[in-house]
Amino acid sequence: MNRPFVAGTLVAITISTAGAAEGPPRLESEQIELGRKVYGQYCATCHGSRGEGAANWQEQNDQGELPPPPHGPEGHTWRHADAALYHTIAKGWRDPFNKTDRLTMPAFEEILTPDEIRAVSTYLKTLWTEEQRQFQWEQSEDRPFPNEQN
Amino acid sequence: MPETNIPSRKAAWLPRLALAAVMPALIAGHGAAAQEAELAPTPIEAMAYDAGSKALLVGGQNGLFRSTDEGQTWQTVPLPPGAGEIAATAVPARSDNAIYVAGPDMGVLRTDDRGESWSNLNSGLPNPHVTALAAHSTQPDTVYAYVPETGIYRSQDAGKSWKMMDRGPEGTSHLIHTNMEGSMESGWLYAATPDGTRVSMDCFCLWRDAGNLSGPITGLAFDPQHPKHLYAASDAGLFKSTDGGQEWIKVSSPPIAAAVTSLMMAPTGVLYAGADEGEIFKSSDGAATWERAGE
Ligand code: HEC
Repeated sequence: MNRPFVAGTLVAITISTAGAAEGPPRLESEQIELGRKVYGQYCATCHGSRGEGAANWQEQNDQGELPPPPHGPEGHTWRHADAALYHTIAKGWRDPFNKTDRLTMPAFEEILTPDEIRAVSTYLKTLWTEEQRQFQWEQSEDRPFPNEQN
Repeated sequence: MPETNIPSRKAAWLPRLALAAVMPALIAGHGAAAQEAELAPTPIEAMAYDAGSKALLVGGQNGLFRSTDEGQTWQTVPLPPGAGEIAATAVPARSDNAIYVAGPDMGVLRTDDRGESWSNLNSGLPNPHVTALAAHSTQPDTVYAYVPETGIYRSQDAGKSWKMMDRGPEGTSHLIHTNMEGSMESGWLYAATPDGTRVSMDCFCLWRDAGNLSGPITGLAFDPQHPKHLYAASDAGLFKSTDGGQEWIKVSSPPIAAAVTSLMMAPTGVLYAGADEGEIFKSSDGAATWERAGE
């Protein structure tokens, strides 16, 4: 800890009182492997083989649509709780300011099983920094993956 | 657990004394009661509407004032001594007498009793230089504060703790949270900047221009009944958007030469504009016509 000793102690006390002293749990390697496979087959064409996203993803393209964003530290996937990631992948997504009405991010609920959706989300977590993992884990505390079977 | 440390409930806090050092500090009531007041001829920097008590709140260099008769008469909302200038004020969703104020010297303060006592909510902020503040439009305990050169902080426990979310738009002078649909999280943030308005979902995923307004934006408001409807003031006049800030059309400005220094729309549908010399105007028809408040 790089805080001054006294302040550090006080902070530690409050944190443990709130029951949030731990960090995110280790990701299961089986889930990562399954997720990596799903990603390569269904996501990489748009989001890039290493999750690098499209060039100029922050601006609408010629069709007036936001391009696929990166999933790593420079993107914003890590800002979404597990429930939101699951929902986006299952139901698809379009930016409401897009000039078209189509789902630019396709819905995968008919293509992937709930476990595959959780697995590919787990794989995306391997692309984040430790700080981002911590943030996303805290965000997910009251918004976890939906409890759907297989 | 009550959030404020009003004297009658002090005993309930005793078992938590060990944690007192990291709790928001209470600034004790200083005896100043609310009084009748006139608004001074200085810029109205901050406005909010307390729907619970149908009160208009305005702030600036000379403190915070409250009116329950549309600006005909004003009462002071006493601030802690030395609090300094108010840059922003906000009322949390579904609140009961709660008011936040923020400013360049005070950081963020909150009262739950119309100014009889204030909580200092600055533990967790890097310094007390706050130039913009927004209450979440639907979540009562969520509030956002902009600290220049550092970024936007979010609290989800009514200001007891803060988390730095991102740098935010440089030079943000007004910040609002809206409940327009289509967010990946729970709403949208709009910032008035020295060069136009910027918008991001409240996941802080991506800040982008909200339309092509340019130059300093001096006031920014949304319609709580139609969250796609926004109003922005600049040197070039007053502008309205009906599509969440993508396109803006020019509408009537209040009948003054001086600049509009803040904008706010109440859930009643009345749009208020505060101006440079303490004047307040209101429009009940979406900035088609204006009248001076209190007349
Ligand atoms: C046809 C192209 C395409 C495919 C295939 C695709 N996406 Fe997307 N995805 C997009 C676009 C475009 C967006 C941005 C939508 C927006 O913000 O308007 C997006 C957004 C997202 C988001 C939300 C933004 C973020 O970073 O949090 C997630 C999560 C996501 N995609 C995950 C996936 C996963 C996982 C897969 C594979 C199962 C996948 N996508 C497959 C195009 C695609």
